[in-house]
Amino acid sequence: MALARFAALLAFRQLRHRALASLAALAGVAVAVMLMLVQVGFRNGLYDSALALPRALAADLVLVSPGYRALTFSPPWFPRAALRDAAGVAGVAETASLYAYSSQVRSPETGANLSVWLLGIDPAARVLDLPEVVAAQRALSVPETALLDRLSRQEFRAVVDQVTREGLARLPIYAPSADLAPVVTVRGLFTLGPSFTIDGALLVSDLTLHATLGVPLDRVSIGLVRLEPGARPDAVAAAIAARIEGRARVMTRAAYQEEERHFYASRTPIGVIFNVGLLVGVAVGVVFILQVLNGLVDANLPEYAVLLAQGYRPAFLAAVVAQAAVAIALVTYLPALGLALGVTGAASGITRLPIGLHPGDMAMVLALSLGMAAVAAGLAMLRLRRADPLELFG
Amino acid sequence: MTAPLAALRDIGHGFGSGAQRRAVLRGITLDLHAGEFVALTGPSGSGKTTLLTLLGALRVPEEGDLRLLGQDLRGLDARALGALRRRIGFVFQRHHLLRSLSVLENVEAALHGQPDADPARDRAAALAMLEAVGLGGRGADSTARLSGGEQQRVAVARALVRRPALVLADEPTASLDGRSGRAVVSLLADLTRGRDCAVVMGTHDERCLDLVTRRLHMEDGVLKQG
Repeated sequence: MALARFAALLAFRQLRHRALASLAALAGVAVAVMLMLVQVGFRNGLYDSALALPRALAADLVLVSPGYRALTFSPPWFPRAALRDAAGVAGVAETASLYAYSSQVRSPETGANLSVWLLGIDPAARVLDLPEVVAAQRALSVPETALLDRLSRQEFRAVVDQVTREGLARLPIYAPSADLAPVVTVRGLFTLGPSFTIDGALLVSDLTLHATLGVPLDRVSIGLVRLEPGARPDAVAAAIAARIEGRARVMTRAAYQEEERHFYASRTPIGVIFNVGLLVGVAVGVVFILQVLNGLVDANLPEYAVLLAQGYRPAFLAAVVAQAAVAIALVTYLPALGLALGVTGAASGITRLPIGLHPGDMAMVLALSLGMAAVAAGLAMLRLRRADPLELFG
Repeated sequence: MTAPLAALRDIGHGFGSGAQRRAVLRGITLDLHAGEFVALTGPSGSGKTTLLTLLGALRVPEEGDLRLLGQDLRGLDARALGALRRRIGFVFQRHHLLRSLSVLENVEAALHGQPDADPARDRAAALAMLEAVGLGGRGADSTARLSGGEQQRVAVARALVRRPALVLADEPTASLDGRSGRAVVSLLADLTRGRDCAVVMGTHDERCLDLVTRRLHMEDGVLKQG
């Protein structure tokens, strides 16, 4: 025990003694860890923004087109007849449709076209479990009425302000097939959040959507199925799949959300880029920690050799290096976390994306930092072989 | 007469192999007894250092028998050699103190590796040893605040605090001025006198030879009594 305490004391003191000499490398470790945290924060922004709408769906089961991959832009449709058939399956309480089409609106402020999601719902149906939508969706029964996502990107700020101030704002929709750009009147706001691909979201009635973009209402983007109390989602999903005979895919709510997340994590370049960025951060962190540890070992080789001459075992020196590595990981983590919270907070404020760090992410990056420290310590221990008591003799 | 602390019989040792082989020690026979303060002199390359490293259980001789502190060195593994070295004190040409530790902690460091380590007792022993080398009250100081002679005295305290049976000093005065060097050797002689301990000091420093009890001279790997 005394030996373990001494190893910890020696590791800490030697690190502190060389803190100034190692300052650049320690800063490098902190920056690498900060980059890892920021990557995770951005990845969260991607996942959370992509999952905002799927999470808001008021559904136990979800029906999508067989060719559906993810809720991006205008997802492929499936026939509404399949949803009607699903409504007849035992255990199904009710069904609803969501129409999702990407379009563009003209900014009243700059005149520039902005990408927007046009979400169409039956104003009398429960489609989105968002309190502001539930409270205001009846108003969508009035033709050409819309609700605007207040977390739409900065470019929508003037519209949001106008709705807040005056209760309404008019927004021209870009419709290439129409002679005159249709205009919707925004009469309220709801809270959803932008995605990486779409600047904002407008909620309209299915009839307004049809009138604006000319999309047929028998082509459903997402079918929502709510179950009767006590019904088993997996069993009902299987029964619906048998009934609709391949005209749509049916999934539980959890499976649907996981599929969406998986799509962004592994099927899109952006998800892969974040993961590669995380790995690059780990590699850079290992290099910087190794630099500190090698400096520590090189500066103390004769002293380590004296300890070996005194009967200390090489494992003791390995323990000193390992504890120094752990100390580096812990000492650099806190400033890195502080910086990362600042960067992700600023990025979230600018983009309005849900960029941020969850406690689990912080713990994961801390674990990765300790892993980096372990790898670097293992490499630095090879250098300890140069500590040789025989070299101390003149 | 008590058994010698070190008994060397016809020791031979060399480096390299085949045509490149160079014999460094030849036919060394020697007994070292408790209470002896031995000066090992000789020109550079005469084999002094190799002999000290054999006595320090840092090497095992290629030829001959070496019993050190009652154990035959041949056949001991690294762990057993390490355990044996815990009964030997080393003073090197340079002090090699741990710069990140205080003076007292450097002396205590020699005790942490002992199997019967006891923090309170070890601290008391380290303080007493610092007192004995004339550095009482300097325990909390950084080693960087000490002069070269004082640093070497801390190295002596570090070597002796474990009450070793054998102390090996390799050119302990080489990096010190004449006065400081003599003070360090004097200290070694004083602190080991009356203990069941032998000191072997490899040295070129003729000014300290009046302090030793026995002189051994080496030339071309062969030992001659002084």
